[in-house]
Amino acid sequence: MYALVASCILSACATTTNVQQIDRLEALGDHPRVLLMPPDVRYYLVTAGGVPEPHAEWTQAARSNVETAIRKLAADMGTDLVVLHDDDLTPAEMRYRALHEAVGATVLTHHFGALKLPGKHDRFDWSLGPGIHTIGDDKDADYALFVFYRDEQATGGRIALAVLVAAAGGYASAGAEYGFASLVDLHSGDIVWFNVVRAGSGEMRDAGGAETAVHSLFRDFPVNSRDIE
Amino acid sequence: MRLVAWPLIACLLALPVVAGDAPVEAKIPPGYEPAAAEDELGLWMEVADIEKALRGSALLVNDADLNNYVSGLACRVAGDYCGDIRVYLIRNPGFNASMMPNGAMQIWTGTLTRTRSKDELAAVIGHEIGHYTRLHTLERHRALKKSMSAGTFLDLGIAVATGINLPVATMSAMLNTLAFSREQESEADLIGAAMLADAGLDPHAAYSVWRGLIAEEAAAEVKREEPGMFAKTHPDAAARADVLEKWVVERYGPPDRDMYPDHEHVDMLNRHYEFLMEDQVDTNRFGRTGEMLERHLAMGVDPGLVRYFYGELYRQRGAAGDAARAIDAYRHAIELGDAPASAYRNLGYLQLKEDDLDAARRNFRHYLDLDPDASDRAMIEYYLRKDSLEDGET
Repeated sequence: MYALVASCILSACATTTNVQQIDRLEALGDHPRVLLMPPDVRYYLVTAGGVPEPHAEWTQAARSNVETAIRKLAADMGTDLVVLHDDDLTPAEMRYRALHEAVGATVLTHHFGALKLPGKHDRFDWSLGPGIHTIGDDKDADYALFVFYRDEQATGGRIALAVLVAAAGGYASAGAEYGFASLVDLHSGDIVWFNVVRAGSGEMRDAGGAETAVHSLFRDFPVNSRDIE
Repeated sequence: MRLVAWPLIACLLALPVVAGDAPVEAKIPPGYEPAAAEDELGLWMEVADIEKALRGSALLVNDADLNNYVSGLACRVAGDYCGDIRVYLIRNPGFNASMMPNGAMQIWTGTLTRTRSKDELAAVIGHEIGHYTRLHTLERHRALKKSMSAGTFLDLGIAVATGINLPVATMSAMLNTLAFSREQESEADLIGAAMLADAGLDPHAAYSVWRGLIAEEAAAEVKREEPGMFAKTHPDAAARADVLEKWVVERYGPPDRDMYPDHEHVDMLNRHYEFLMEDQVDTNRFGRTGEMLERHLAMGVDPGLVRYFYGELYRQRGAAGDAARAIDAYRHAIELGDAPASAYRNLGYLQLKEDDLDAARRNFRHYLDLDPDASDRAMIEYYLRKDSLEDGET
């Protein structure tokens, strides 16, 4: 049973990992203006016992590298990026971040995951609601961009354990990487683009790896995507 | 938080302080910053993020008076650790408090309505500070790392559902796994009691607070399986109270006064009673709410306020005879004076249903006089128009 789960996770058994509702970013001004919510990136160390332990140094390095890589990507795309930082969020921005986390998890489970909602018929019509325009108004932003990423790095001991358990027909996680990026239209609140990534998307703890990871995260992003590739 | 002006308390306590060291020593000094250990730095980073989210939470109580009361008490109990503890008062009618390893403490508003004195509230706070000074979260994390039993903690059920690990579950799952052990709870109990005594508060409150909760539980119509201090890692409340009582009496002598009434605590409740009890009534746990109201009357909370909430309880319960009980309670509250404006309105609605139109109208008018900016003014004015009442549109 667990072995099945493991193979499902590792082989990406959900076939779709991307939803693109729009071809281009629409802008009220000259360039589309995108609000980058503080990327929720965390690195964990998984020791032999299997308890993921938050790792401050790796997490801080990854967050900073990811922000730099996204800035670069946005500049390449001709998009004005407004970067928000954790400590400067207004209560409304915090609440929408929390709401997005809940909606994003629901999208993962019920759109990309195996638990389909029968009434949805695979429609992708997830929204945070039009009230979200309040967080874009004073920044003249058209869209908000959310990034979620987790990297669980297994220690040698943990990997050895995972091999042993697998040999015995069981499953023990030997680390994992997963995340998603999502673009929300600040006028309607609708999620207009959503991309899921998993294992092997890039090593965010170094600058080069973070660029690779950000490119995977932004696959088929709705701005002249050929320019990004 | 440190700007709280200390009310001068005539401390009637003459605690016979028994010589001896603190039962369990703090593991960290005041002003503690996490050591260079990777696991501890990681924990602090993680909870710092949670604390940031807490600051923006819609459930955070911003009322300055309530925050001063609770944070001031926390500072007094914490003593030298005052600068390390940050209190977040959370709007939730349940009884709960929790401590993060970086000194951020959450206290639910239901804790204020269930404690009978500042000493009892301080007992809850002292217990949480005990978790902090003993590095209990870190200790628990390290114990779990050592035990292989945690190996399957990743939620495989969720993995099945999503095809990938559900990311947002990670953090909460980790914190759940870090629920304190029974040994840690007992340790924190003793530290809390000693901190009460050191702060000139009554250490006997450390066990009396549990006895109050046991009384509420006994009055409950549906016994609880709720998160909070009764959760599975916490020793049984009665056993816990007994152990603490024995320890406190041995160390500090028997209680030498009746701890009630505590004017400071009762005054705080009077100033915020509507805000605090509104959520409790809305839980629809009528047995518990009734027990709390009875307790509040005995404590000396303004009877006009308490009777008003008896009215709310009966009106919301709506069992046979409850309409009459609610009318009596609202009337009683109004006679006692200091009833909230909504006592007139809610009484008016009940009288409307009983076809006592003149009385209903009188009370509606009174309501609008007392609260001219009421959000439901238009609705009340509609009912005040003579014909709308007599057309039987109610």
